[in-house]
Amino acid sequence: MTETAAIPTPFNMRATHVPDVPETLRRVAESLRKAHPSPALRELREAAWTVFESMGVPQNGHEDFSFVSSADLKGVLNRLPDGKLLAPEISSATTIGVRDEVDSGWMELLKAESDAPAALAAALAPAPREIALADKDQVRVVLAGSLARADHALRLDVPAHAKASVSFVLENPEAQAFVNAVVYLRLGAGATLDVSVSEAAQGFQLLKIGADLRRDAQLNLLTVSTGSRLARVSIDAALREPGASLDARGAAVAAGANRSHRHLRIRHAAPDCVSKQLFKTVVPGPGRSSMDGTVFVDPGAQRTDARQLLQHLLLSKEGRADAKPRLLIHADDVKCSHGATVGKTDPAQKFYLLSRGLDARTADRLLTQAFLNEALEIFPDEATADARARLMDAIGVEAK
Amino acid sequence: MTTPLLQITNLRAGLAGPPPVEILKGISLTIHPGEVHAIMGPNGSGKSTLSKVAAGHPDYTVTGGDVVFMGESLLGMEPDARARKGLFLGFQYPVEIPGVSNAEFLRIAGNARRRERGEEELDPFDFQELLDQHMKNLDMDARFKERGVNEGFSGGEKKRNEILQMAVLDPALAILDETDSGLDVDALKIVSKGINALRRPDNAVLLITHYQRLLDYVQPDFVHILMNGKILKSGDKSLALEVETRGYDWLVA
Repeated sequence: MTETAAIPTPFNMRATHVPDVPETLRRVAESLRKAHPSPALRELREAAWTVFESMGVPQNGHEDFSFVSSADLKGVLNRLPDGKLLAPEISSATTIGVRDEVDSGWMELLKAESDAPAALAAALAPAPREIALADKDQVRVVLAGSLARADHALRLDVPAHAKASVSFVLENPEAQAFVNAVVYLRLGAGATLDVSVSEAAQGFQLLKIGADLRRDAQLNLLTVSTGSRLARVSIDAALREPGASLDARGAAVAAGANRSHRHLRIRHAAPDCVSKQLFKTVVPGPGRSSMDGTVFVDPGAQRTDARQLLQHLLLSKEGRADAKPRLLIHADDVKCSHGATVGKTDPAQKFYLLSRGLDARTADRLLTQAFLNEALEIFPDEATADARARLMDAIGVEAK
Repeated sequence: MTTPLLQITNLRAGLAGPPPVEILKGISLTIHPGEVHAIMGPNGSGKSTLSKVAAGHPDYTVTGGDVVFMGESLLGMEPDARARKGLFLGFQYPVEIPGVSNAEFLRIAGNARRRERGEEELDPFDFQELLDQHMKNLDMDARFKERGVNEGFSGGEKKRNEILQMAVLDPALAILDETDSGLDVDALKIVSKGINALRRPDNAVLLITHYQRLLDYVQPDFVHILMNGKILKSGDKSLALEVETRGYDWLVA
């Protein structure tokens, strides 16, 4: 069973309502399309726009955006591009081939796109990029926001049996800035890719990561966030061929009144694949977090091993945490588990630390750190030291 | 006569509830520097409650009497302040804290205590040296440093880790709550050796135990029998031996 499996996806709200497509945006998108000299890019934008148009701006009650403020979403998605050429900043390495033109592979990806902001990002991105990674490549990609809007579309291909790593940085330092990005990762047979996503952000950011794993490919992914006005990362991974394996983890702090949203869709489309999701978010004060994860096991995806755990640490009464762990299983020989927890730091653990003379603040800091550590442990300590420091900083004085 | 390290006067305390449950019904006990005391008693007599009340566990509340430690009442003092002042509780069931490294935890705790005593904090290298020495004395494998606090430790390893913490914190008074439970003879000998090595004329130990076996290795100066929330009888080590042969029932008769 491979990508031909067609499973009804009840969470995809396409065609269940009249799509909300702002008229001015439609006109701007059209003129952008027509203006571009490259036929390939025109075609890509056309396809992406058509997909976006069929969905429109997610409205109140949209199941994939149920925890996100629809007013905020509408506000930013309706913004018009200011015509600046905002390209992703990609660290150079001799082995990386970056092409400005796009090939037919994009069409396949876009036609299957179910995330409206992602489709819009591809339709409006001034400079879509393709990166062909080579073995041992280590690439850093900065996706910057802008006060108007900044749309980015990227595709990374990891050839068979290559091993590479990419870190994405969402840079959005202004409170009103907006970045909307879509990234497609395609892992060839036996390829290994380590991905880390960090948000150095204040404003509004939406990131969709699509991942496609072939036979025995391995994707290790860590998202780190301290939240912002609107911080949503959506991961949509498909394990297409036997032996593919995904380890997706998240460590987040919804600092202050920040919001942090994690949306996860993992599809087991072939037998003998393994997926693990471990997402942890601390809400120290009046912030808000959501983690919405679904694992689909297609018919025929036997011997699937899928584990999902979504955990919240809620340190004050003012915070809010929503978790929605789900499994949709259409095969009978599988090992699947899912769960969600929400709570304060463990009182027995805290008393133990206090009884050794650690003050309450230090005890809370250690226990919170310990909570996040399990997610950060996906990569070696030195690789996550900055993230760790930033997360602990974000918890700051609010922890009680 | 020296000033007592610990002076418990007519202490009444129990679970905070709701509903509140009185467990200790008027206990008085005085411990001087250099002494080893043992409290024995059947299940449910209030032994563990006494240790938790002394350490300031939030589930327990004091309804009467006083606990004075080194001249200062512990009532109203936060658990961490009690510990920094030099009170140590060895837990009957030490909790596991995955993700907090045992070594880091010990260093933070040790330095908090040193600060309180006006001593200089140890840097990670000096602390490492001190820790290695203590671990050697307790026959503990170096890998326990890097593990999470008590994470995946066996029962005996957890108890050794308690004594290791006691060694690092160098308390004025250590209350050891059933440190002997779950230990085989060899582990009991090692743990006892560790406790004895820390004994000095200026500190004291309060052992809480079901059995007199531990008292063969750590010799008490005083033995108290706690039953139904009261100390029914106090004596020397021979009292423990008597309990061993006759049980507890004769005390209430």
